[in-house]
Amino acid sequence: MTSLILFLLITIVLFFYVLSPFFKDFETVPEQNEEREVEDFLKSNVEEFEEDFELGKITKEELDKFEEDLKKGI
Amino acid sequence: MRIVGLYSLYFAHALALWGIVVSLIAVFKKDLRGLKSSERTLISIFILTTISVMSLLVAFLKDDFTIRYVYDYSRTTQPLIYKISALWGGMDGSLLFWEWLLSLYSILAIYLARKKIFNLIPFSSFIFFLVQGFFLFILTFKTNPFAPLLDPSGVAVSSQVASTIDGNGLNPLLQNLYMAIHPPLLYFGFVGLTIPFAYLLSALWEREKKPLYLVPLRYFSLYSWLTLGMGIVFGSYWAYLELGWGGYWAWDPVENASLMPFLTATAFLHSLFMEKKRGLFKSLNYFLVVATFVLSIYGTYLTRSGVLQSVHSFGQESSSVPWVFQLGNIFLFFMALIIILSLIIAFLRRDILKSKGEIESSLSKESMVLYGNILFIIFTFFVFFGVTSPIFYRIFYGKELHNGVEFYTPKAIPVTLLILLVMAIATVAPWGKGSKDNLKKNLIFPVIVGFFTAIAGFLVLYSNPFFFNSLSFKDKAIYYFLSLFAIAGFSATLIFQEFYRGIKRKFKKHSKILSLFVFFTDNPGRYGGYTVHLGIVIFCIGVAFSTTFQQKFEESLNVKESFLADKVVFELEALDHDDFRTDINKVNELKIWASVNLFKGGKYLGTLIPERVHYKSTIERNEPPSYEVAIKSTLFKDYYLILSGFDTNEGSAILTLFVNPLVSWLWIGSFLILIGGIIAMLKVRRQK
Repeated sequence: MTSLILFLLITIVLFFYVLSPFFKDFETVPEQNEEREVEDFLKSNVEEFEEDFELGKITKEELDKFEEDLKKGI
Repeated sequence: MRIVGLYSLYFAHALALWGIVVSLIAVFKKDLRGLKSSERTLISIFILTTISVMSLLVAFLKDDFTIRYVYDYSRTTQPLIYKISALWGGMDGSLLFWEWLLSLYSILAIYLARKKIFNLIPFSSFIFFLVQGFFLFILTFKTNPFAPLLDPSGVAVSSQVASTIDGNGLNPLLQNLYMAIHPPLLYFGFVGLTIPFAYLLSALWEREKKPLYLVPLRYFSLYSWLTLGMGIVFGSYWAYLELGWGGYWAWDPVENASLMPFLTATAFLHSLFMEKKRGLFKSLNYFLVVATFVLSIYGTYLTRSGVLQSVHSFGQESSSVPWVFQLGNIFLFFMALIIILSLIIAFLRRDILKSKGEIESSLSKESMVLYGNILFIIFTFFVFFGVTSPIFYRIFYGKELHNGVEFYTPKAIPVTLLILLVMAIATVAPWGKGSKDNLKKNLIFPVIVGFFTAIAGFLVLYSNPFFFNSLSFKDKAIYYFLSLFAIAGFSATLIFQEFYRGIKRKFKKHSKILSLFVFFTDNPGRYGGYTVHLGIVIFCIGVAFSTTFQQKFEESLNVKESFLADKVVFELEALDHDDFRTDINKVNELKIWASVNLFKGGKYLGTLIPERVHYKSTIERNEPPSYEVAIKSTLFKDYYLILSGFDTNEGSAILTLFVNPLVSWLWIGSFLILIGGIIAMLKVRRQK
């Protein structure tokens, strides 16, 4: 019985929890500033090509080209 | 607790439907309220399904036999671990567990990489609600784990009556520690595959140009691939220990059902890497992600619909249920819905699916990944054909068709060898146009090593009469083995060459000893991948030897008698059993066991104790007792002993022995794959 009452309380709370955003006025989803994420993404990808360059697997020209391609891709 | 669990499910189902509506509001109207409400709905569904799972667990622990599912899969005397694992031991509970995991993963997918996938949250939530809505629909209307136990007159059994009865107990084959781990691991993987599917569909729908979402997508894909792979390995190990036929993989339809998404996910992980680095294979990735997700549902369909007979099947539905409401058909409808939705989105966003980069050389790393993916798709296709053709054969010809080892193995061997070869070359293949001279320079030494490995392997086979007599020059097998030895040597050398380069590079910053342990930290993805590849080579050698050179012996012995096999003496020391007068209702099991001593050249090697186990269910159904095999495992061979027959009055036993070479290599290879996968998931910032 106790668990049933607890369950009923939880359902009431959850009910209001999911509905409550609609008690406010309309607002559009805000744009995110992804500058830092983009920077991180580029950096981690370029670093792997740099490792290949250090290991002699690719040339400096190729490294620059891949870096350029990555920037274009973003 | 039954009512709490039941109503939690109903409420969660209603919320999933609400979630579909509010997430679509967020998708089409860009309404922040819809987004917030859908996120809160995901959390609420998780809370409710957790309550549901906990209610069922408590019911198992308290032996609440008023619930049919608890009655079917538990007993008062069942050990605690199997009362817990009974949660996923049957169809209803396993689907509840699936849904609970999905609700957890949905939240993790939304919150763990929030900044990278913010634009994708509304549509991803819609996908999660759609899939959760489907599973909750099945749970509430078709396979409700809280359905009451009925007495013969169809009235729900009361708690007073339930306290006087005992349950059926978990299937004896499932009463094994590895079987307690195998299904959840598989589900971790299967369910995790929903996340890449949701992300990629959302990215396409939202015309996402920045590939930031590829980062969390890779992590979730890798995690799902790894857990699915480990689930398959644990399942194989369970089959090896529990089924008593000396093997670990039988190309069973349901084993294949887990193999198919694993193969496409493997292909996807590689081409995803190319998309992240070079903007390639966008449409291929989309196809692979959709195929992987659909195949994971297809696997569930095969297991649950009863359409195929397998050790894993959950049984067939009564034909009195209207076809539209039959469980198998509901799964088919859902798969059709997913495929149609994916096709529509692909058509509407076909301009986005064009790759930004292009392949510049047929010998580049990019090309190798493409060749590998084509081979993985071919592999998946023939497994799919092998699993699915019996269904159509039955429909059109009215006869049963069983595709077994003879169907799959001849196709799997050449494809696997080619995959291993491409995998090896890809290790040193250059990016972009690359330099062919550089590639040649990198390949010379590994090719020489591969040549000598083939010769060494041939000599090993030649020096062992049993190995050599099992093969013939007219037979393809010898050529396959030579190719395997050559490719394995070639591949392992390339990988160690790369490890050496990585370690050498670290010498500049660390001591030589420390470099050995931290060389992978600059690029965990790369070195983790190489470790996985090394594990795969070792795994394949184990599979090749253990399936080709298995030896079988069968002997009838009295106590103190012995037999010789593989230069080892097996002496039946004793045959013993539990007290058969014990009431089976008061214990979980009754055992019969043989103690067998092993000697080689007069030296004692150890004692093996194979068992046969009676459970209440086997006694009631008049079935023979279950097998518990005993294994003496070494690096080069396993002695796998089964108590096939026994006469406790006469003190005699029939012992079946399998000598399985290199089985340990499978588990060592799998362990390396696990370690490599974990390394690949590490995120370590490079030290400048």
